[in-house]
Amino acid sequence: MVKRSRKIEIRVKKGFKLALKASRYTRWGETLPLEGVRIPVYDAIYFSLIKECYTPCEVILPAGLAVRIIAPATAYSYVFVEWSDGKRERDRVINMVKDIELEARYSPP
Amino acid sequence: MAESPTRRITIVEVPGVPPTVPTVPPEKPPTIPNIPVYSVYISANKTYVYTGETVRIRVDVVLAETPYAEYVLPVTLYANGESIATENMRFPVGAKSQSIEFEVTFTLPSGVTEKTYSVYAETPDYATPVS
Repeated sequence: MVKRSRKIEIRVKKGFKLALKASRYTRWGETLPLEGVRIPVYDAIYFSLIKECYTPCEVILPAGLAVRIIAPATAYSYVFVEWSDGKRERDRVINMVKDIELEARYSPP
Repeated sequence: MAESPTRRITIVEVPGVPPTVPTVPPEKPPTIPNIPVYSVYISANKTYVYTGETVRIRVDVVLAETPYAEYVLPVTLYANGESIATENMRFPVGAKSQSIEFEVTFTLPSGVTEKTYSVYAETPDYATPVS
């Protein structure tokens, strides 16, 4: 007979997930997805391209990596407004310490 | 005067049986009883890691009684049903509970981007005295 402890779950990942999306506001304040908007993901230190993301896209990045993402100023004639977390800089640096999901939001011109 | 009959008594010597000396069993040292394990608890410093990262897994064991001698208890750690490490936990006199820490590095096989490991610790039911 043996004495057994409870089980603990340990999740192991290759890295953290960066999910990028784009959407546009309608004139009624709703958002509709914008597909195929190019948001490149760079290494923030070496500025080397990690991935050409076309929304919606997901990329697994090593934990702790600082990445730079740049949303285009316009997409399908829509104008960049903000990211889903409220930041208004198109060009931003993110530290990959967790799974991150960001949406670039555009409005009609 | 009538002669009284003579009784002849023949004494036959029977080989004597040596007197029985009570045998005293050799003195055994008093046996120290095993102590049942009361509880086994497992915890980890993180449960969400990336490949190659080390996780510190701590196992706390409590005995049912306070030991009056030094006791030992093997602790085995399992991940997804497979034994990954075994360590002997020592309980000095008076220590009813002890902890042991395992440093485990999880490395994913190639092609796998995510995996969940179910980790638990196992011990025998009893701690045994150190001879």
